[in-house]
Amino acid sequence: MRMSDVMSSLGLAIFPIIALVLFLSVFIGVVLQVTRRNRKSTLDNAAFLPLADEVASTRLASPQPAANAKEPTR
Amino acid sequence: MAETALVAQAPAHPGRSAPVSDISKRGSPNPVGTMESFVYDDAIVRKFLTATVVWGIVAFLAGVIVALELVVPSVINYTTASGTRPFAFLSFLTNIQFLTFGRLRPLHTNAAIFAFAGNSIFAGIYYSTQRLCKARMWSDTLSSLHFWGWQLIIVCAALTLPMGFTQGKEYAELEWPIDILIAIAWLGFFGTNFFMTLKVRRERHMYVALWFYIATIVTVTMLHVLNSLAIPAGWLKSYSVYAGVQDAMMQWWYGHNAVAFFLTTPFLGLMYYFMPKAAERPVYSYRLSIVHFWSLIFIYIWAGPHHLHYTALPAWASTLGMLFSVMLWMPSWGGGINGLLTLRGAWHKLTDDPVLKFFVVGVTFYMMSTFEGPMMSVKTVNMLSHYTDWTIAHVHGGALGWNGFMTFGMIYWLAPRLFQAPLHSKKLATTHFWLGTLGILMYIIPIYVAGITQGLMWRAFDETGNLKFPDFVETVAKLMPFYWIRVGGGLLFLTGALLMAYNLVRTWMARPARYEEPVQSAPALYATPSHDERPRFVPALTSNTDAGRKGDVVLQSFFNGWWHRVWEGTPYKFIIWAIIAVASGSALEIIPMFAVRSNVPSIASVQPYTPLELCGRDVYVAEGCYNCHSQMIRPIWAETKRYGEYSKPGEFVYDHPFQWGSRRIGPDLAREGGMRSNLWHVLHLQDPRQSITQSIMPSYAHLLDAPIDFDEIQAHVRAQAMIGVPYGEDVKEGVSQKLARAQAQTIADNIAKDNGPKGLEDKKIVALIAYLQRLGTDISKPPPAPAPATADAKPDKAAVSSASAGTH
Repeated sequence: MRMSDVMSSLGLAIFPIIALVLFLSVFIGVVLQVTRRNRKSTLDNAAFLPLADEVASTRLASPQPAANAKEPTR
Repeated sequence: MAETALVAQAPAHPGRSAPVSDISKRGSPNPVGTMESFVYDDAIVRKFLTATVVWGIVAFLAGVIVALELVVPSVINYTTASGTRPFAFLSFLTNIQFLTFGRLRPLHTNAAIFAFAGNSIFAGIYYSTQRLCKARMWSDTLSSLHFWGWQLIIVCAALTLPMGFTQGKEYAELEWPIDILIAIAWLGFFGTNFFMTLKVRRERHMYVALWFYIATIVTVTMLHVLNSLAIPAGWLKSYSVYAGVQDAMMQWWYGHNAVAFFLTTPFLGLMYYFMPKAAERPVYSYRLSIVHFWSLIFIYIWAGPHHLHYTALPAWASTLGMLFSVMLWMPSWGGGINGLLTLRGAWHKLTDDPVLKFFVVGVTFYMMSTFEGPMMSVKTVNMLSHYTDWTIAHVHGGALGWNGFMTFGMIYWLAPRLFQAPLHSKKLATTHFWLGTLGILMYIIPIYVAGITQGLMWRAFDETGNLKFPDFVETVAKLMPFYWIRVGGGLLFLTGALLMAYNLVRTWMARPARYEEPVQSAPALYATPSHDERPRFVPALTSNTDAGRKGDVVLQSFFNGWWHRVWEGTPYKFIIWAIIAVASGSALEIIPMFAVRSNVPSIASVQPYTPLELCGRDVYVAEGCYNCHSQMIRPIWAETKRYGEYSKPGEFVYDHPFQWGSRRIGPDLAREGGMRSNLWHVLHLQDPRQSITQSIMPSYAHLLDAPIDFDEIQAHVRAQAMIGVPYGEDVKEGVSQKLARAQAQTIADNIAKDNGPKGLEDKKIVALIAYLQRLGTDISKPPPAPAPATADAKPDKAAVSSASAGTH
């Protein structure tokens, strides 16, 4: 008996269904938890992260004056 | 920033109405560690940016050249009334073996994907990761090794591909030593550096862009390693360990997810960082971005089999691929809308800012491509679109529009900051934008038309029930006007990129004598979640039992979303979950394909290639024939009528690698064996236009001179035997060589007898013809007589040799 005979008898065709159920539950889980009201401020803070990095450099304890740290404007 | 307007509109959004000075405190509400100073490494970003521009121009130029190669053959024989051939000077594009379409097209795709898009990803990731993590890259040495390692890989690719060293799998052509280099540079240098930077970061929350980068790094590693598994048969030759249907499944699992995790997720990460930067406001919805991320990586990994509709791949797999592709509509458009709406209240900036122009059109092309992709993955649409230029137009909308324009936008945004000088000319950047946009449209619109035209011509029947265009070349000649327009579109796009290069050089020339390196500071982060991030449990059930309380705690912590915040804060757990998401989909889809035998019913009469045919197959792979010729007849009336019996999974069990192809610029070759005489093949390969006037195939005259390396054949047969091809006695020293020489002699004699060229018995062309004459013939042979246990497959193979050496 070959390995593939063994595998064939295992009924692996159900695998994709399992994956679909798995995916759907993760999806619903993620949607449920991001729409929780008490996450709002955390998420808003997170959304500001890309904008926060440049401002951070103006309030640093740097030996240089703050103006130097400003990025050049286009 | 136009904050006042937002205050009025959305007073309930404290995050969006805050004064600028407060923004810096966001994200890390609990500075717990001591203040630390650090400097961002922008030199590495400058390097990657330069490489992006240089390789971008190389990739676009290669694209223009391969586009030209498809039209030049139609005019080189054009003769004026006075007898001159004004376009004959262009014939070098079809005569020189290193420049043929089959060898340069992989160079073009590899340069566009791994050199241009690759360096662009690295530039963006190195810039944004440091800032989002408030930390310098973990190791400058690794950054440097990554940069130079990657450039070395590109140079190796540029040298080996035109020379014909290839694994013969689309977008994974590079040979095994380069594959190993890729794995080292990608995971060893880039991955390690990136993940260690996450570890030493000073910002607890990992911004969504970083998640996309994580998914990119882990998934590309997995795809690259698993798809490239091969047995070396020399320093620059190897055979895929997978064969036929399984190889096709792995290849398109890889191929599609290279699109997903090399050209989509990293660029989405860049979008989530640079779009808010350019628009000067946060992303439209951070919630949507979380849903976007998890659903995208979960679904994308399944979509690969939609490249194999109606092929010998089992229908369940391709249906699965189709369903998940249609599901992809949602996350893709969710992400696209999230990117575009980031511009809410800032649309007026679009008129003035080339960066935003590039981003908006880039994201629009992303939405267009991700609308079209699922549509093309629907089987009935795919029946028409597959093997045509429709696919080519689709990928160029995505590659030029999405990857190209996102990269250009990012470069124009980064350049003044990296070179610390104002952009030399905004006007030139705007010109680049318009040239690029026009170029894309001029490329994709005629190519859509070409694709649909050819698809319809292939399936057209006349009133007598015969094919309306039985001559394949008719359907190619019809496309020439569209192909000419494409050359123009490509030239416009290339010109735009050259303008950008000039603009950047001028900006760079205005740089300060010494780049400023502002010292940043941020509090260190402790490894544990800060106090108020830990779940505070207030049992809702006043239960007496400990179990009830515990259950309540678990439930509450889940619904508080605490678990996700801990993931976000802990890179390793997050990485593991991302791996589970992509690996579970892959495993659940691929394992049944390999394990369930009924997926590939065996055919008794299908035997391994003879040593000479194997050598011919190596020539077929090296010349990149699969770039224009498929070997897969779909069970569709128009195809069985044109090419013969449809292809069966069992016919490909010895095909390491599979050569089904994805585009028919020339006709399908799955049943080519025995259709034409050996001499016809010699003459056709020598000068295709002598046999078929309108042919656009390159000339393979060099195969009449190139000698067969018979010693190599022996090594190649052994390598094939190692991956399970039953070669029996042939692996013994000298046996394969002898068999190959005998078969070559038979074919050469046959050619000479028909008054063809003489002395071809040790030339590569004979091997290639042996292979072509074998293609698709096994299925109509009687199954081999049950041989005595001692004698292997040798008697059968002798029969096969004589059969394939026949003239008809």
